[in-house]
Amino acid sequence: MGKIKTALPKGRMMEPVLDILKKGGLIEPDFGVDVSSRELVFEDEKSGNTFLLAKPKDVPAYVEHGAADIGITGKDVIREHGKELYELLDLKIGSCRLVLAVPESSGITELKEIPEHCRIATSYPRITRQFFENRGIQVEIIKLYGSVELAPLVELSDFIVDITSTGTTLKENNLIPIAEIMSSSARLVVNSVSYRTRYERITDLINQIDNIGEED
Amino acid sequence: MSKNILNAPEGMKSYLPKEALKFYEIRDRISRVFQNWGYEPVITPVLEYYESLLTGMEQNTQKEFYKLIDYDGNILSLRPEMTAPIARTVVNRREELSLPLRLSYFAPVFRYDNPQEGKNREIFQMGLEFIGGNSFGDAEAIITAIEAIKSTGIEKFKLDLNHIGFLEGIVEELPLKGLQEKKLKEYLGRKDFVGLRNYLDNIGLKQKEIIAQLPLLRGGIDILNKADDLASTEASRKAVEKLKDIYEYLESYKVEDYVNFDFSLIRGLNYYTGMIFEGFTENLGYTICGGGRYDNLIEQYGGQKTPAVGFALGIQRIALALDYKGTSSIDGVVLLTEKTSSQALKLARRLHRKDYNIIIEENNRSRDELIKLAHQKNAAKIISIRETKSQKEAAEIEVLDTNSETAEKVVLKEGWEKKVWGK
Repeated sequence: MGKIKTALPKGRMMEPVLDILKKGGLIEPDFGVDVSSRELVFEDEKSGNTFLLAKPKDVPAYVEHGAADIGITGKDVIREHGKELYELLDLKIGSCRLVLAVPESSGITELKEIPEHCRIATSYPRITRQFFENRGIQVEIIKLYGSVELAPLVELSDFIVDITSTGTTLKENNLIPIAEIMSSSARLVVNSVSYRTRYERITDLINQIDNIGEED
Repeated sequence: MSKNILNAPEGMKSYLPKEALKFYEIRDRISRVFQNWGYEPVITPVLEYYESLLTGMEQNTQKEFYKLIDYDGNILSLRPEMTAPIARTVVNRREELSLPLRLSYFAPVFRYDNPQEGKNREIFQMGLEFIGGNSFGDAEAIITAIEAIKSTGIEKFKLDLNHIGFLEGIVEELPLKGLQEKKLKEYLGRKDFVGLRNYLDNIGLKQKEIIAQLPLLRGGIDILNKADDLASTEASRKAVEKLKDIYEYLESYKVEDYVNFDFSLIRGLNYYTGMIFEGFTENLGYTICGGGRYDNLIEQYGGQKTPAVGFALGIQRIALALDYKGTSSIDGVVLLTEKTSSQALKLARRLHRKDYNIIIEENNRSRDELIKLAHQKNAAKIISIRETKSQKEAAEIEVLDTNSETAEKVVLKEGWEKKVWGK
């Protein structure tokens, strides 16, 4: 009882997430995940907890279907997937913003100058569609899987919707953010049934992590 | 060839015997429990008028309806659940019915869910509606749900109980404007505690502590006392009181170990008026049942205000949680040859009448192939008629045991079947 399967996001969020989970008592302090290895499933022998290494965008699927009890991924990803997940905690790491960015040369500085039927490249089609639908602007969305800032350079799209944390990549490609669609950070999500069957273990974990935040 | 010729519509599938038999087994077990409690089956149309199904339902669930238009221009819809069609039926046919009504169903319902992997759009539901019942009704629904789940063989499961009056009572006191109440409930219902905290900060609600406490109000009977301490209005106190009463009934029936209380539980449908519950089992990431009290729905269909309570179980999900295999129980194969066909059919007739499950096959296979076929159907015996001179009925048969692969002659005299099958 009380053993927990966690879906961890591969990539830049991994290290800070592991730190938080160690402080939260889910992982023993000396436990290390060899990020470079090809292993995708790890077991912490002392606690018996297991960890799956998944792409951040896949974390919601593992958790929704109960393949993992809990998972950690960005709010942007959770929103984009629209999965039925319980979002219990903001880990306050991996902060970034999802923005609408336009090429400097377009001369556009405000959302209301965006023309109807323009083309927008993004790897967040669902959020992008909702954003423009709510404002009554009809746009054509082109879904890309990465390097979205390339699209306006080669005239695949007029504008882009993408995440940015420091703004450097946008600047390097002469793109200017003109509207923030949402701000995001890493969230702890829980499967709706695991939340109940492992309620005590999970609320313990959350309280411990929450307390770390307050001590800092 | 168009690709859709071979495909089932998204979210739907054909179930082959292995799965179908499992569903039937689950259905039979649950039916027995429903019968034990005096519930009688009801059948309603798969299609209903769209406007009828919308009665008592929230706007945001409308996207989940399969809709079609008939040749007169009416909008029809595949039922997304059974409570509304049954409520409609009860009001429509009230002269033929007398309260209290205990109705049960086994029925497919259809939901055009967002295309998420692994979600069925055709859902086999079993459930019951107790209409015009007494104050024991809440407990009756919960107990029958527990007994039904137990009957399927699932052992580790729990129901989470709540009473929507508790939250209503709390919200009643808060200075909420416009859509704020709905928003709060949405965050709670989705257990989006991050969103909830941010939202409470945003609207600058002073009494946010009490709302922030709600997610923590989950647990066994002790949690009812904590809830009682938090309850500041008559409505909230009454809700806790009602849950205590229900718990006492559950204790008397000795099923109290199967329930927890969760004061942030909210169900998707908004016709509920009192106690609500959801059930789940370990190692399955989905809920397996849900239900609650809906005292206004009958009235919304134009009937008299009638108390009612019900629940539904998801048969596919229950099947996922169980590992027993659906098997057909064939007792034997009777072989036909050109010369013995009449005698073989008479023999088969006799066995069918005595309730043996007998397959009839032409004898055009090798012995090994026959045994293989029998094994596939779990048939223990293969029977062939021994040719005799001009007799109308077979006097002697050869019985091949498919496990030992040995054959023996059997003379057809009184009681021979018992000798062959041991039953």
